[in-house]
Amino acid sequence: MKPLVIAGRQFKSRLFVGTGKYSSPESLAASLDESGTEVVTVALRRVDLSGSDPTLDAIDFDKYLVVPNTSGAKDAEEAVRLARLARAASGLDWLKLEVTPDPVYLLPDPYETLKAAETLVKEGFTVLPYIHADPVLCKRLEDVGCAAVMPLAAPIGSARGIRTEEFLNIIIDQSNVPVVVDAGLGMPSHAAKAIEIGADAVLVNTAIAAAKDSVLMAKAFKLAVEAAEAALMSGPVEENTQASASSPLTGFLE
Amino acid sequence: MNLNINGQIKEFSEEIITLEDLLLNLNIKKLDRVAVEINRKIIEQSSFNETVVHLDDCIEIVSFVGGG
Repeated sequence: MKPLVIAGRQFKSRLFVGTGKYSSPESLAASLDESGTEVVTVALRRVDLSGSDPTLDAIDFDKYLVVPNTSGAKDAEEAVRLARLARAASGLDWLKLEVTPDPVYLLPDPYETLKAAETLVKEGFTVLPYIHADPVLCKRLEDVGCAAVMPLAAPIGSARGIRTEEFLNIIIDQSNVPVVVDAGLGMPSHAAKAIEIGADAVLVNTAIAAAKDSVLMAKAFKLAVEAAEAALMSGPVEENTQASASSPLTGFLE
Repeated sequence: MNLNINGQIKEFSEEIITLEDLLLNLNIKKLDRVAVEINRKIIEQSSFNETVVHLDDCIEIVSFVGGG
């Protein structure tokens, strides 16, 4: 397996973790630690003038690469505005670009995402776009200079697992930039599957954050991703429709 | 002095001259984690202490929250 390198930066962990929906800042901090992740995502919102959000205190900006997202953006213009604000706040160029005008399924708008990506790459952002598992769109995003692509497995937070496998296979086959499977992964086996079919990394939020014991689930995802990675590096056997005996084929007592 | 901040009109009895005064008055401590727009123009963090706020300025103050 090739090392995971995005925009010239190498990562050991193939598990990226979102920071939304945790029951407490303590649970978030402990889960991030247990997951072994090096990349976490955050959202950008108006500061609550009546008190600060303690979530921010739970995230160690020195320990993790903190990648802001553009959640809440309904079109390219809003996404670009959010991106510029995110960069001003974090001092970093990394950005998870998401444009999701549809409030029910939160599906990304491909046209607006591509438009925003083109602008943001020109402005020097390291753009990681969240998109449908659309191989053609992934190539277009790669062509405009995105550092990775983040196709969805299933709708955000749905825990439905990999429902887009045929198209993920094509994306993985064609892509010259890392493929990070994002959204919809509900169980560690889903994350393992994504790595086994050749994804470079996965991004998980709800499955860990909304589990009763987030720290334990963070560990489970870490182990699953590492298991899949080890399996790929081990040189796994090819599938076969016929049996292949594991025991000697000579008859009993021959 | 009244200012429009994050869509709300806020009244200040203390003297607010710079953006940094305003952020401190609002009890925002992590100035290195916020971004501010005044009238849709982003103010860099390094300019917070030299940016003068004016009556009727439309100010947006944003920061990070949990997200996926």
